[in-house]
Amino acid sequence: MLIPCPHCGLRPSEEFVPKGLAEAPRPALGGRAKPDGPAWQNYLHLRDNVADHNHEYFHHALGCRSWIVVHRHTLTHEVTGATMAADFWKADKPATTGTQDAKSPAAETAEDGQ
Amino acid sequence: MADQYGFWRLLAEGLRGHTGWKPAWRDPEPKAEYDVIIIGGGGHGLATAYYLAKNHGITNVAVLEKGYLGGGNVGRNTTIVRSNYLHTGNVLFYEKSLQLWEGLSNDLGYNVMFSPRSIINVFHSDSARDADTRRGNQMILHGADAVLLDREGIRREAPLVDVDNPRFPVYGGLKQTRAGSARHDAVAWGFARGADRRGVDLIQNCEVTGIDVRNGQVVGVQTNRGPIRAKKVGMAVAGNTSRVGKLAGLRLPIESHVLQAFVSEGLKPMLHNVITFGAGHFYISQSDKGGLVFGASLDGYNSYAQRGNLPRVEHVMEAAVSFVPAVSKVRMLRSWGGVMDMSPDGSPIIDKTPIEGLYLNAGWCYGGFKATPGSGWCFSHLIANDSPTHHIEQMRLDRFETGYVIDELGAGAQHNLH
Repeated sequence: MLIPCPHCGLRPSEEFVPKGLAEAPRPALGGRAKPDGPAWQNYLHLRDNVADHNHEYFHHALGCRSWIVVHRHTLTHEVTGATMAADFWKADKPATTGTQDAKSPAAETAEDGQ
Repeated sequence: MADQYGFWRLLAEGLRGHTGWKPAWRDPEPKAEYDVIIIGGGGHGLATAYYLAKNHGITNVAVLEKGYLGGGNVGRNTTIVRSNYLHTGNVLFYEKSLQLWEGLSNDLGYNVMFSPRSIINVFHSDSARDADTRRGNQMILHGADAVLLDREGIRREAPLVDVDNPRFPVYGGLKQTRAGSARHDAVAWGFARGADRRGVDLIQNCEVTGIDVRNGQVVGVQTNRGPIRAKKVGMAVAGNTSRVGKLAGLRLPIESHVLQAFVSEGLKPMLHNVITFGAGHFYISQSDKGGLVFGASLDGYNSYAQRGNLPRVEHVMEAAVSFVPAVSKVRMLRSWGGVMDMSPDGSPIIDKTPIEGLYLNAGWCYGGFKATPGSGWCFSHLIANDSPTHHIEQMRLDRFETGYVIDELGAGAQHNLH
């Protein structure tokens, strides 16, 4: 399984540590206000857990150490792209790094090197 | 006792050329209404139906299975049976389950080949010895059994373990003598046959496509073989818990992950016990056919694919050879993957849901096989009486929100920590 890290290009999955589904944004800490219990429950524990295309956090632990969100299919393991985790929940997030289309320059370099 | 698989029946059938055997269970058409519907014809679903009939006298029950009976995780595991848990919420339940295992073949009239060959959790440091000593004491306090072995004890019990490994020297191990392994398919078939004989309808090739809820109360299910009414519906669908839960509008604390397992070629007896590697997550035993059966941890990413990837295969083989160097001479026969219903704290959930009449049995992570009889025993009690047995009082669905988690590893209660 190859993962298109937005920073490093296509890299083998052994370099990454999966860290669970990206289904809800992290709630704001809110200072002294009482924490929003249901929002944290939703973020920490509850999952749609689909048998379909999903979004999943990965840490590029043996690479650039970026946190990214990988777009994968849970029935076929097909990887269709990745986004920097910092950008994933932004409304105007940049285009995802894909394996088939819109390859990043880094991804092409990585492929050329093989 | 004519339809038991006993000695006299075998002898009689042998004399008449085995022409008198009948299918072990019926293949009924679904009725329009049942008292209880169990979704999922795996080990837990079949055990639940069996104990509903046997313990609670509820026989108007249907088990709906989208494929064939026992075709999921009950046929795809490493067959280890044990109750060596630390926390009360777990050890009470698994010890109940182990006690049921001990009488299961007699109870079912079906040989599940439960073999109490003991399990040894090997440790490799002083702190791990302290932790295992504490766990052993906890087990004894809860009615289970535990023995602490020193290094010589490991040498004596499992001579092929690399006790003097320079990187991970063995300090000893925690042994549970009553633990062991069983024949996984026989467990499913034994419960299926027992349930069928008590009047439960086992309906295969019947996929639940909808759960009908009216005013917060379950009224039935939609299936590919038509609608079926029931006021009580139990879910025991392991890796597909989220998908079935969604049919009732539930968003559940489950992620589905792939766990791989491996079998080697058949060998002469070389491993007497089930043994686990304390310096990595790895467990190995030898089946009655002689193959080494072993596995390790999850691949790590979410998956419904029932197959894993090669990096994990390599990791498992490295752990195997580090722990039992003789394995390096053994050829692998096959590997496979199963879909695990992972809960945030690594412990199961047997509880009611916010929907009246809908019951949940899930979150088995990679420990569902040993739980099969206990899960059926406790889940059937919950469905029949609307109240949990004391074994499962802590296995609540809302425990992640309230904070009363059963954090067996002490790692925290978030996905991907188990």
